[in-house]
Amino acid sequence: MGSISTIGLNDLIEDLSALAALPDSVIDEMLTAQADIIEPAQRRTMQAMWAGPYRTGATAGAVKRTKIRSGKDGRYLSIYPHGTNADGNRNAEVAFINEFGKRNQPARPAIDTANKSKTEEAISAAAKVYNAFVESKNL
Amino acid sequence: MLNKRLMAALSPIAPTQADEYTPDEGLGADDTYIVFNYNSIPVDYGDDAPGHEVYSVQVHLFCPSGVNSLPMRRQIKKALLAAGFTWPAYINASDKDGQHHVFECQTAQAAEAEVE
Repeated sequence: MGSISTIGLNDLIEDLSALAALPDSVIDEMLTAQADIIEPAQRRTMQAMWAGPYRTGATAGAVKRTKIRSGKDGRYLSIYPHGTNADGNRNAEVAFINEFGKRNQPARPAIDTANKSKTEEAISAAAKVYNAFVESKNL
Repeated sequence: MLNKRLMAALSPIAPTQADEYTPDEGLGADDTYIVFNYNSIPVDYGDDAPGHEVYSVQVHLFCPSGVNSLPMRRQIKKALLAAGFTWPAYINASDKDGQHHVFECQTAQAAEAEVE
């Protein structure tokens, strides 16, 4: 009776299993690569779009990323203006009003504009990290 | 073109203006009105020039507190879709001064098309 033998099948299975269970360290690296693009883009766009007599630059300067956390949809981080300004108002609240406007104050959607203009670049940065991981598995 | 599309879609629902609401001369201010604004991102590059522009549009419905705005909000979503925009995301930005409902959608048009 004939038989078939393979070499390296177990290694391949292990590599594919590792790929299927993407390590948190790789996900974190992907998120960080995206944040490295989005965070400065938000800051720049806020500075450009939120110009005016009352601008202090505090809101744009307060844009930071959170630590990476785990949620029901996986790992994530958030980027938004942290803290409060000199008037005691939350920088995130000031950003919300600028972004969406209010009666007698036109909206100036800097955050949405920054995110959309950098979407492709951020995806490419994350894909680069992912591809490097795949290549490290010889796949 | 884009302004006209938005005006045609939204004006039947409530008085509509671009960017900022200013009442017509001689008329009192409406307490219910719509304003819209948009930004664009160039895409589909070839020979260093974009083939299209993707417009991110915000539509704002303002009305007094206590008014049932649900029918108007539904009308706005349907009107935007019918006018060729994506089904909008909705944000409730109401504050102590009254209701403020924000609808965010997108559309694309040829880069050389007129905005007006």
